[in-house]
Amino acid sequence: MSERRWSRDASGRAPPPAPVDLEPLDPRCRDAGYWLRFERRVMSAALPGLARRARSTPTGVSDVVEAWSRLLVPVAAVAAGVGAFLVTEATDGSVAPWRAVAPEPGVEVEAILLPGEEDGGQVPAFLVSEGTADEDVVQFAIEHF
Amino acid sequence: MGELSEVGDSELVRRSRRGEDVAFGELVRRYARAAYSVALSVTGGHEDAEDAAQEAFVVALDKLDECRDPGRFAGWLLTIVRNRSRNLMCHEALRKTETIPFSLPSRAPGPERSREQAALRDRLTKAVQQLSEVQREVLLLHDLEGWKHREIAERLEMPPGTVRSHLHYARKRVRSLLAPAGSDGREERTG
Repeated sequence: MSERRWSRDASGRAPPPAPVDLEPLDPRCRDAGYWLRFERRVMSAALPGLARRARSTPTGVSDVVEAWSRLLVPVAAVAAGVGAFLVTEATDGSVAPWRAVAPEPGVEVEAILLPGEEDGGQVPAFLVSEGTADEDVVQFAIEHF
Repeated sequence: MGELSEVGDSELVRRSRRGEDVAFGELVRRYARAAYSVALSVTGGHEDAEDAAQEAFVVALDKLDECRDPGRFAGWLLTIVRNRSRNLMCHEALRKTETIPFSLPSRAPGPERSREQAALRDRLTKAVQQLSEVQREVLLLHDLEGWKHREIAERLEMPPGTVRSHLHYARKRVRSLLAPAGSDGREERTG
């Protein structure tokens, strides 16, 4: 009884006995590479089972997504980086590479409707007369224009 | 390898189920010593403990789909180790009549092996043999493998107080058995 009181600590609990040095029971104590060889032996015995599992594992949707994501994520990151670079370049005031070429001039609608005008051709006189042409002349002009 | 050491058991189990050898290798690396300690506490002999622990890993891989809670892989594995060790001892008992020494093999003695160290190991072996199986298991997992009370409690599925109790009496018993003749080991309780 007195021994128990003597061995109690301030919190009232008996302190646990000091750890026993069991190091001599550890195989590594006598063979430094023991655990490495242990693991290798286990793995060589387990390899057929692992191979069987790898073969029989069905490819699910998540596996496909995971496999794709491994490729997709870096590619998307590179693409985003390139895009960000190009946008940044364009907003710097310099001309974006794809706008360096001068645009083609547009074709005017009037040029299509009035062929020959751009060549300096003259409009027939009867069309510019000031209301003097009679109906027959106009009809003739329409038919032969 | 470095990143796998950070991965939890459940993820390693999931990947091992798919046949990833690196994942299973990490589980082996993580629990090889604990498996050996438990096997040693049952068999009492190095070679049997080694065989039982190695076989247990292979059995665990075969039955990995039966591990319902991969987060508690360690406890599940140690149950397999315990059962394999007991089965092994039953077979050994049928084959042999002599007791199996609780000692390390002589296949890798090394030139540095000293009589003093061998004598210490023998004494330690005999002392540990005096404990109950569960006391041996707790003592070896804590003082040899370095597991915490909480880890042992979780993995052996027993209350932490029970773990402390087993450890307390196991240490006390071993220390008293290791104490020199004429001493009752009282001086060691102060540690």
